[in-house]
Amino acid sequence: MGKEDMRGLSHFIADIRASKSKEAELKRINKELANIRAKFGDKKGLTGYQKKKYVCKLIFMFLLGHEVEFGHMEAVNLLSSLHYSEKQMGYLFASVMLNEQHDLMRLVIQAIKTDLSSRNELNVSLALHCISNIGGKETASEVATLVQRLLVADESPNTVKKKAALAMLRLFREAPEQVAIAEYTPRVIQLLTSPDTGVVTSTASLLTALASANPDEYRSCVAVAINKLHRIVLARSEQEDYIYYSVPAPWLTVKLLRLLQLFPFPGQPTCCSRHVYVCVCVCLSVCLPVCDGRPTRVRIQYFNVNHACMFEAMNLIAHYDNNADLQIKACTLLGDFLIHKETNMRFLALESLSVMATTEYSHEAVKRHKSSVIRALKHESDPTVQRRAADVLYALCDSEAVERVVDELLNFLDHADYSVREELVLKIAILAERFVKDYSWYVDVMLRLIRRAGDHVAPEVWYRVIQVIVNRQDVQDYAAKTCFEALLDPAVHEAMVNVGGYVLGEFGHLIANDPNSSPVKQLEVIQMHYPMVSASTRALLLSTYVKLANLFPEIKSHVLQVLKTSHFLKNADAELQQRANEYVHLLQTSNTDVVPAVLEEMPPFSDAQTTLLQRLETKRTTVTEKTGTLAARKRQEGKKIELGEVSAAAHSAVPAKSETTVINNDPFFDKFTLVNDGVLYENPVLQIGVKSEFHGNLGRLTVFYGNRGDAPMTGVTTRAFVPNAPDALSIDARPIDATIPPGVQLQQQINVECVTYFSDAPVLEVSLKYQGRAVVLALKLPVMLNKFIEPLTAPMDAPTFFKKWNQLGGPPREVRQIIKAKEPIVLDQLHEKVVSFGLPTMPDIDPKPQNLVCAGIIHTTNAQIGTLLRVEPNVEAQMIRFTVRASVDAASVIVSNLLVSNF
Amino acid sequence: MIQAILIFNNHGKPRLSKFYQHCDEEQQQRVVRECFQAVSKRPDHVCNFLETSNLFKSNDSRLIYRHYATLFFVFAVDSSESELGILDLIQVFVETLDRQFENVCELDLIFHVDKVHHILDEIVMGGMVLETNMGEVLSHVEEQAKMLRSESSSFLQAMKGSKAASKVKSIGSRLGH
Repeated sequence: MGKEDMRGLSHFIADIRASKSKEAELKRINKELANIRAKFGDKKGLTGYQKKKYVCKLIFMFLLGHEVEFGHMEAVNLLSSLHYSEKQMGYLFASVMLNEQHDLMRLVIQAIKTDLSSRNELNVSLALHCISNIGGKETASEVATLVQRLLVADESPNTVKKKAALAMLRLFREAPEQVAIAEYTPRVIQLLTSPDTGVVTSTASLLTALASANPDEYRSCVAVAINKLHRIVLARSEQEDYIYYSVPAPWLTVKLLRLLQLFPFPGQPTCCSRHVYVCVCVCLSVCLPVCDGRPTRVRIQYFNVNHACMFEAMNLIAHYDNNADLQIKACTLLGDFLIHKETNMRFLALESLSVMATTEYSHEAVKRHKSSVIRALKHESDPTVQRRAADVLYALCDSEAVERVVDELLNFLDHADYSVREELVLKIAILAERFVKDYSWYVDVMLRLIRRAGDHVAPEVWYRVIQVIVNRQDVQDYAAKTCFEALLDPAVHEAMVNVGGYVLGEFGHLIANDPNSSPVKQLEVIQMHYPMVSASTRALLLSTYVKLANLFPEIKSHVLQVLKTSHFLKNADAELQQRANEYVHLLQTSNTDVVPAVLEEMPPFSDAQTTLLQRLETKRTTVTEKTGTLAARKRQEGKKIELGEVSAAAHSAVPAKSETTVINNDPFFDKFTLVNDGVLYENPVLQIGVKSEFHGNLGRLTVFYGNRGDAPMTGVTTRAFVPNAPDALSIDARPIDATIPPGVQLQQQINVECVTYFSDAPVLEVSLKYQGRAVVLALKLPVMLNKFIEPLTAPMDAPTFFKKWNQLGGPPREVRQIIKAKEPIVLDQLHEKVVSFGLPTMPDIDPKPQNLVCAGIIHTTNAQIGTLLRVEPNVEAQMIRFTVRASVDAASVIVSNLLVSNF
Repeated sequence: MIQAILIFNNHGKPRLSKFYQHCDEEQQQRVVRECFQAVSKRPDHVCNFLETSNLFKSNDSRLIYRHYATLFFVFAVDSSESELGILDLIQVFVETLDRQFENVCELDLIFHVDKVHHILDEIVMGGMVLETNMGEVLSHVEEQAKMLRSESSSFLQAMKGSKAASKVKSIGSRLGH
């Protein structure tokens, strides 16, 4: 179109621009819309030129944000015009205004099909552009084969090939199942060797998408890509035209470096690995002399392109993580960039450092830049850069640096951008917990965090603080003291009130001797905050009241008085009302044992795994699998390892047993000693249940896998084994389907034969992939030695019992353990528990009626092990004595341990 | 991939918007607004990259932008793109426009929206970099222009032809009566 063309359009645009106000503009737009609508409605029909003009106007209005409700049909008609100008306009309209769901898409697809087979290269291009802009599932099913043919056909010109590659990419993203590219794989990879840089660039994009979905299939492209890369950066044999500011084909270099990051290090053939290192070295050595004496603008561009390649090369070596020299060199280079005068470079250097910090070989080298990074955090004027600096600090933190790092992050938190505060809070909490040396420091940090950034503190954070305090005895009095002091401030944040309320309720007694924090004062402080907080916090504070009343009789009457007010007893909030009523009755009850028992100190939290990391992960589920970059993926991998580290960290009084990073089912497992059916493992997307039955030395388990998520679980495989004693059980687990669709439950049969006695429950290892993440669950199966106990066939009388008892004799066949009961002893319940353990009790044998005696036989293939048990409860002392005698010493120990852990 | 390419002026008036993933009209306007708010306040010496959340559904976008005189060129990309690469791509785009319109200014973009779209299409396709060689891009654009020119000359002839034909037809019908 020359400038003379479409004069009406120019006038219209000029009018719009001249409009003085929004109203005037709207008026002009509406007038034009009415005009066009009338023209389109005209039966006489418009010439192609007129249609084109009006469609162009509609596009302009759409750009300004005005709704365009008509003209679609007219635009789509232009697609089949014989005039290129009209066709072009029609496609432009379709690309801007239509989408796969539109009613007219059918017609568009027909036009695309026609144009794809056109002999005119320009028409083919238009159709390919349209596919890559708006193509979807339906388009894919209609045109995928045509596009494929254009991509690999020898006679396709390069311009068509490169566009076909990107159109293919769109179709693959939208409807991977429609794109049967597998058979063309070698030919697509072959395109990487094309002499046309444009074709190679597009193909590299396509291969990146294909390979990230299915790396194994495209492994062979590694060698080809390396070869190409080597020729570009070293031989500089690229087409002259693609030299951009004296750097050969920088975009392609970056693309290829990214493609390589999808694959592991190419150890074989050796020339590949050598070439990769050479390429990386070249990219890392940004040579200065080339550009001396040129204008600044050119120099800046030159550096830009060079650095694009350099940063990508760093990502690649961080991904390989197998060359300490290169990685350390990269880190040194990055150190120089931290003080670069361009903000862009400082930003990217920080980003690369945070990737480098997750690697094995360069982690230490990154730490050397700690002070520069801290300086960036403090003095950068751009919040985007500061945020990156915070990321690096998070990644390089270790137990030596933690105090400094946490301190700097806390300072940064005060003036950080609001959008990043929640993430920052999580990170500080995780670091403080992971590298804690002194728990009073931890408490200080966390309380400072909550006080300063209360609004951004996710509930998980303060839950976790409480868990840690409850699990660490040595810090409880300090925590109580600091919490009390914090609460003295009437304007303290609600999250602080929550923590303070809980901690004082549990550990307020530890500071009660100090006259400044006497029980009465503690109560006053909590009462002061009560009116200002939300219902859920109030409920927590009510519990604190009653806990304090339990510990300090002197304030009991006062608490009762408070609770009895109608504000509580008739509170509109059901939860508060219920708590108040229950607590009032509890405090008034005559039974003196009940209150302390109910209000006893909370036991340590068993879950050593922190939810904070999960929270952090959901906070930045940034990466869709298909486009996921290496850097991001690296970060995720790093996180997976961290998850393991933290779960193994020794916060809880009980050291964590697991050494691996797999998920276990310990919290679900304990109950199974006494029952046969139940939930083996559960999380929001997966539930695994089990039913089991045992006869003699044989057991049969049915395991149910339920997918509660909304995506299928794939690659499901299972393996069962007995840790430490692989031959003690023979386990036959039937195979199950590799895929569990969402909302479906699958069953698996597992048959077990007890060959000989064993102490550790067998483990069922379930590996699966969910939404691209591989998970390994190591589930203990509910198969313990006591499951194979069967009662004696004939009942036993007292003399026979004692005869046997004496026959078996004392240690080593006898194991005696005395334990403090975990729950108050009720004789009937004790009796039931022993029976459900597998040993039926026999009455009238033991002279003391409350004692229980039992006999049974453990069935194993190798031997039948006679087992006798005597249980002597002492209700006053809340103690139980278990005496087990079995015909095999080891079996006595195992049975005794099983018993003890369940009473 | 590149999720969207936006050009707007210092007052936030859109001059070009191109979305590579489906968004409805309202969402498009929202994205333009949010991008304008995000970049317009930034001083010139800060970095050209910016992280945003919730710009698109995927929750993973970076804005990479350049500011030329009265116009902002903003590319919204996901994490699979190299920041500096995109920054250079903006430069290529602008230099190409500059060659095409001979010292491009805001008015050129306003009055030739369609042409700008066609040029952009030769550089970025479906959110991926298609061509970075300016000479190649311009030669494609020139090819299209040639096609249009040849059409418009033959178009006039066709018009004449059809007028003549309708005359003949009308004569014929008159004879029939």
